[in-house]
Amino acid sequence: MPVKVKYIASISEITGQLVEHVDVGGETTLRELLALLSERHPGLGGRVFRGDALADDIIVLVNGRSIDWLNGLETKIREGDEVTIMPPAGGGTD
Amino acid sequence: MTAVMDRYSRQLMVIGEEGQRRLGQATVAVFGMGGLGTLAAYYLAGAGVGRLYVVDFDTVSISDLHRQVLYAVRDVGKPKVEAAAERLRSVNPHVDVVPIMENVELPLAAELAGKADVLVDAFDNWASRHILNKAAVRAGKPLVHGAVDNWYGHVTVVLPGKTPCLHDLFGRFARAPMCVGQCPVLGPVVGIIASIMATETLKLVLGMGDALAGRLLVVDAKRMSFDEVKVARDPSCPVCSTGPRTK
Repeated sequence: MPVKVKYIASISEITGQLVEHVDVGGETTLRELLALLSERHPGLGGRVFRGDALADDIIVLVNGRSIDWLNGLETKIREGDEVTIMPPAGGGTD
Repeated sequence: MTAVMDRYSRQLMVIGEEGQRRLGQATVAVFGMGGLGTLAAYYLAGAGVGRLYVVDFDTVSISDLHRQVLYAVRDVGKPKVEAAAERLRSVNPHVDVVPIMENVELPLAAELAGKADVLVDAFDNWASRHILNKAAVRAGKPLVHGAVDNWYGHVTVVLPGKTPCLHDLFGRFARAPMCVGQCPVLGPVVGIIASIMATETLKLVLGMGDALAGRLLVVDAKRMSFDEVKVARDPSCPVCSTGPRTK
């Protein structure tokens, strides 16, 4: 079963799609998955990475949990997982 | 009494007299009287919530009027909470509208979290959202969170002890800067999100339906797509976890 990747808000403008199913061949890390997706979608890498780190203004959820409370970019991604990539929609708007 | 029943006749068919009584006894605090807060507050006042705290430190600008539905041209320059309170009272004089013109820090958030049955996060910045989240968790009060940007928005309900809090999901944004200049946003998109927030608030007060709890509803109005991300608590969250902080 492939990994389901959800692109939220302006991230979907880069990828041109809201959802993508990715075959990771068993298990990988989030860093490797994002690198793979960045090759497929020009502009994505520059938006989600700052150097080797995740950009401060990007949230990644793996199965509904922020990777900040998992293992960051080294979080294991397995077949059937759901990965959500989102920017901060912070306005109320005052 | 008849006039009151006339006022609520259409929703009484939905929520019943017991539901109406519950609304009348409820207190809700809406934080941020911008695009989300004004429309949410309008629906809550119209529905007959007993007491409504409306909180904001800002004044009305002409650039607010395309989405902040409680204000008119004559209100430009006035404190938002004063203009909002006047309009809300004109919509429903049976509601006790309490305007608070103050920048929200933890003591105020905690005080209102103690008084209100439901807290509504309609802020425009993540620092304030995290302050309110902390107050909601400490008080054990439900928090309805919504945010918009451009064509997009999301909503979720935090039930302390049961669902992820905002720090679980958005801790990384705690110090995220506000937009440079003005945040881009389309009025009706704000309206969609605010309407969902008001609906969730009413459901929480009424004890009806299934709350949008443990679920992040994501709206993409450009594609008119509604999607849901199931979200989970983290045992190491420093705000809502009772366990030791591990990171």
